[in-house]
Amino acid sequence: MTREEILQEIVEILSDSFELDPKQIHPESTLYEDLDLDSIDAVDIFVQLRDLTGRRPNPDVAKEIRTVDELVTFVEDELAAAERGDPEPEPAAPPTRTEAAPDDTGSAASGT
Amino acid sequence: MRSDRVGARRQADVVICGGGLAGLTLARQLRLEVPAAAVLVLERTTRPLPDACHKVGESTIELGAHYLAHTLGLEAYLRREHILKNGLRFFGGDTAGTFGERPEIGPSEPPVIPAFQLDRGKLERDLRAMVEAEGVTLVEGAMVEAVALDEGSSGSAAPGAHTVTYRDAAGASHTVAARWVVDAMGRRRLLQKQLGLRRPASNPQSAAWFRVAERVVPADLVAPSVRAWHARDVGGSRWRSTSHLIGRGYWVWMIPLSTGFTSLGVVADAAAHPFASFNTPERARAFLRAHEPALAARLEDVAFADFRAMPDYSYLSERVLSAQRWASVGEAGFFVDPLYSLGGDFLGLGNTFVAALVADDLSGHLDPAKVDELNAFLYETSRDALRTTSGNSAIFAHARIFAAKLWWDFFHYWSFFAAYFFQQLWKLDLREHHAVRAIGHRYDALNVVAQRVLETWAELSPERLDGRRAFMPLPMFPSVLADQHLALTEPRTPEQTLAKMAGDVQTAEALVRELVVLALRDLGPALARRFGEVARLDTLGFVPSDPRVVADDLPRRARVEALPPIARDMERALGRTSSSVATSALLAAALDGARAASSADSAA
Ligand SMILES: Cc1cc2nc3c(=O)[nH]c(=O)nc-3n(C[C@H](O)[C@H](O)[C@H](O)COP(=O)(O)OP(=O)(O)OC[C@H]3O[C@@H](n4cnc5c(N)ncnc54)[C@H](O)[C@@H]3O)c2cc1C
Repeated sequence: MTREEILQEIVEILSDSFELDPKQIHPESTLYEDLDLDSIDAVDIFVQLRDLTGRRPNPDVAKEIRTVDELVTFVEDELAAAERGDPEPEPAAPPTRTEAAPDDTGSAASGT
Repeated sequence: MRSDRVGARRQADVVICGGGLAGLTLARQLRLEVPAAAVLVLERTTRPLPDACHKVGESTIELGAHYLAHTLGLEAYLRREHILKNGLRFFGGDTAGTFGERPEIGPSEPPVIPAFQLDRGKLERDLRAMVEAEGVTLVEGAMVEAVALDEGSSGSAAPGAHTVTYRDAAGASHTVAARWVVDAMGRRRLLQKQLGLRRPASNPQSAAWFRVAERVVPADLVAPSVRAWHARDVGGSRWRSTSHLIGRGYWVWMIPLSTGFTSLGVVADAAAHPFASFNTPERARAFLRAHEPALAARLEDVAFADFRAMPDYSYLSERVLSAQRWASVGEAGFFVDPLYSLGGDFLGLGNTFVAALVADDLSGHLDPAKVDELNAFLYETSRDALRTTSGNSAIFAHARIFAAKLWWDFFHYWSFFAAYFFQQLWKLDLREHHAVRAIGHRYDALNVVAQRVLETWAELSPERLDGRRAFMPLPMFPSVLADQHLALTEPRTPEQTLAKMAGDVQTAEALVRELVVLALRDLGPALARRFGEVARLDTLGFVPSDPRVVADDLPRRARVEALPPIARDMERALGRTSSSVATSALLAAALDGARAASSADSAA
């Protein structure tokens, strides 16, 4: 997948899931400010990206991501890791709903 | 009498008739929990038992698995000798289409609370050896012919002796005296019949099943080139699930067994698929060719190692526990439905009640009121489970609606029934146990509405609703629903659990309202009124001015912040159907329909 194709997929996921206008989503858009998402939305994004990459996201990497462009890079790296057959991160203990409360914006952990 | 072994087998504290899953597990539980009780098990069949091709009842869910793993201390054995299960998985959508395109609902990672796929032949073989080693007298080749109950004494009066007459393998007749008689002889329901207690269940569903001597898994049905489908099975554990292929009026199970076999079965509603369309091996293959062509093709050259068909498998009973010291456990009591693998749950719960009552009795205070209380809990929960597992014909055709049903059914199950068992609520005193049952009654009432909403939504949907995503994780983490799963093993006193349930039943009510919102937005203005008429929404107390409904018309960010967590979670999982008409207007139309239907009823 090229970066452009990955961007397309991500725009589709974001617009479908969060009722966003695709035209409003640009590589430099920030997830939490420009797109007005919160930490629970972020968890859900990574769950859907997992279907795309076939890999469990590393929560430490995921939680640093701020922009759409960084998401694209993340997916690119994950696809490359899948290609190389890199080992998966172990499944993390699942967060509870209260731990993932939306007010702690930015701490997107891997959801599953 | 109590402490000596049943060597001469002339009497025992507990005579268990039937040494299948229910009888053997009860015997083990009694050794663990009531070691003073002398236990005799009379079982018709003799070892060796075959691998796999023995009985159905292979898939367990949280409660039944917890019973086996923890109450009976079998966790290490189950992990070693059987298959650690990866939850329940469903494939819906276009049953004749490409399998890899069917919407999939199921866990994305192995569940936190384990369950197992049981090879029944192996398990019963091993359990027989275990209970013998633990000091239970097990007589194999013993055909129970009669049970004579001494009905004279109840409760704290001196125990009258029941007698059980059986024929041994050599044909000789024996009679043993018993303080307690437990019928664990399966669907023949000897005691229930004798006492006139059998109750039919309005669940016209039938089943047929077979095993094949190889592993047949969903991945076999999807070409390796469909990379994305295979890739989303991140941990490589999809095959460990109980997989269900669902279509209008039927479902098919696929269960992997540790001995290398696969168990497969067809369950169908008589109104949609007559029993005669799948009740022989040839017909079952033809049924699969017609409805599940991908699986049929996979099985084309695979021999069935056994085959069994069972019409109208459900039945209930209002009494399976008696202060006259008898009980009917497992299928000798009642059987609801194979959907969700609840059989093992009720088996474990019933056995646990029997063990508690035998312990009370042997320590001199069997309380008939407690017997009735526990018996009522079994009856009420089985009747409620029957409501959940029947009438799903149309729902199976719509993966999206079925997913919504799973949210409700799992919430109901984890927050109430499973929590009851994990948190040992039968140990509450009678008054508090009564309060638990009262919460149960609220769940029952909500369940009636929820199932009617789901059925109506499915029946009125003009086209197949597959949902917006190819794969829907269930449970979805983090969510209010998943929290109920995680809460099962949290340390809590029974009193704390009772308090938690009182809050959870309110969330349950909010969840039912979400089902209504989802259905209304899917059905839209053209069908909203009709939906209200059929689903009878007027009993729910859900009105257009409800803050939840008002919030629904806000822009997304504001709406998400105004929604209760359960509403947001269901929207995250199921998506939101766009609608030209506000939710409040849809609800108003539905309520009009409901009121019109009610007044037509009362006029009639
Ligand atoms: C289609 C279908 C699918 C199911 N799927 C599941 C599932 O996935 N998960 C689940 O948990 N449950 C399932 N069940 C229910 C499951 O079958 C029961 O939970 C379980 O097998 C009941 O065990 P039991 O010990 O009561 O009966 P059985 O295992 O049938 O044991 C009865 C025993 O009594 C003995 N016996 C009978 N008559 C006599 C006699 N006269 N004298 C002495 N011994 C006698 C028999 O030999 C047998 O060993 C399913 C049921 C059906 C119908």
